[in-house]
Amino acid sequence: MLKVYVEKIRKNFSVNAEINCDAKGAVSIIGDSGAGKTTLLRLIAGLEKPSTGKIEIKDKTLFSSKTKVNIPPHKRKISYVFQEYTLFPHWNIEKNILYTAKDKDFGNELIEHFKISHLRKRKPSKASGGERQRAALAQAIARQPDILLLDEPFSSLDPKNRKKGCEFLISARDKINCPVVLVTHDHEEASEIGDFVYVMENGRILKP
Amino acid sequence: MTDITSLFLTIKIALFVTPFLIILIMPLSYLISFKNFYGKTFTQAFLNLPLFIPPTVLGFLLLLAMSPESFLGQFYENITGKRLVFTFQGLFLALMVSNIPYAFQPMSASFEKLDKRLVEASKMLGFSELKTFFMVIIPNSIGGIAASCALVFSHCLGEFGVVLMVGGAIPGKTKTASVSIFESVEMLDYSGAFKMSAILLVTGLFFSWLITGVLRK
Repeated sequence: MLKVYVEKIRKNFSVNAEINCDAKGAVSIIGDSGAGKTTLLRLIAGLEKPSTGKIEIKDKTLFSSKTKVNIPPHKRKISYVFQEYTLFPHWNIEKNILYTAKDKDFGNELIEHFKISHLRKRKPSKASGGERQRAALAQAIARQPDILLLDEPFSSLDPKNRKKGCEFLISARDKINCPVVLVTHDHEEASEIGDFVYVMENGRILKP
Repeated sequence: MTDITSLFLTIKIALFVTPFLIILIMPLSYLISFKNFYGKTFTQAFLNLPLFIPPTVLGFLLLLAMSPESFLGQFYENITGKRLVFTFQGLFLALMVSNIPYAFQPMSASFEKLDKRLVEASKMLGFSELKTFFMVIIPNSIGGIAASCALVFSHCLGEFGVVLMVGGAIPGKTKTASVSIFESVEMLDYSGAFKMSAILLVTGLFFSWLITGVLRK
C-alpha cells in the first residue's frame, strides 16, 4: 500500500496532494500542464524535498516531516520513467535493462515481452523513440521496485506508438508487483492504465 | 644542436603533471558543476586565476611560496632534506598550479553540459553519488576530460615563464624545451632553436587536432 500526503510550498506555486494506492494497484493522475503532476512524482521519488507531509510504502516511511525521516532517492527502491527516455547513452539497451534488474531471467523475459530483443546490443541512440521508451519501461519494471512512477511516459511519441506503448504496459501489469502511479494529460490513457483516476489542478487533487 | 635531454625532461614532466592534475581537478569540477555551496564563485575564480596573471608573476609568487624560508619550502625540506626550488619536484608543483585552469575549464564545461536527467535517472536506479560519478558522469564526459588532458599536456610542453622562475635552467634537472629554445636563440644557435621549435610545433598540432576531433564527436 502506498500512502502519500505531501505539501511543497514554492514562491509562486505550491503542491498539496494526498494519494493512496493498493499494493498491486495503479492510479493515474491527470491534469493540464503546470498542474503540479510532475512535481508530485518528484516529491515521491525524493528528487525534491516536500515542505511537509508523509510518504509511506509497505509500512516503511520514506519521508516524514514530523519524525524528520528523508530517505535519499537512491535508497527508496523506486523506478521512475521520465517523459523523455533516460537510458544511459554509453550502454547498450541490454545492459541498460539487465544491469539493475533484480533477476536477470526476469529482465530477459521483459526484453522479450516488450519486443526489443533485436535491440539488445544497440545503443539507445540507434533505436526509435517508441523502442527507447519500451526499453525504459522494461528497465523500470526489471528492478522490481517498491513503487513504479510513470511521468507521461508516452507523451513524446506519435499517436500510433503512444497506443502501442500503452498496450505493452497494460499487458505487463501482471509482471508488476508494486503500486503504479501514472501521470498523464491523456484521459483515455489514464483510465486504461489506472484503476483509479485523480484529477490535479493548480497543485491540488480535486477529487477522488 | 638539438637539446634532447631538455626535450625528454619536458615530456617526462608533462607525463607526470597531466594525470595527477586531472585526478585532482575531477572532484573539484564535479563539486562546482553539480553542487551549490558557499564561496562557489570565489572557488571558480581562484581556480581560473592563473589565466589572468602573467606567467612571470605566477612564477615569482610560486618561487616565494616554495623558497626555503617559506612554510611550504621548510615543510618539504624537513621531510626530504632537500630544497624544493630549482628541482624537478618544485617544477612539478609549479606546473600543477599554473595548469589548473586548463584542466578545470574543459572538464567543468563538459560536466555542466551533461543532461542532468541522466544523473536523476541514475539516482532512481539506485546508484549512489559515487557510483553515478564513475559510471554515468565520467563516461559521458570523456570528450571534456580528454580535452583537459590534451590542453594540460601541451601547455606543460610549452610553459616558459613559470618554469624559468621556479626551475631555473639546470641542464638535465630543470631545463625544459622552451627554456632550451630561449638559450639557443640567446647564443645565436638558430638551427638548434628551429629544430626544437619544430618538434614542439608538430606536437602542438597533433594535440590541437586531437582536441578538435574529440570535441566534434
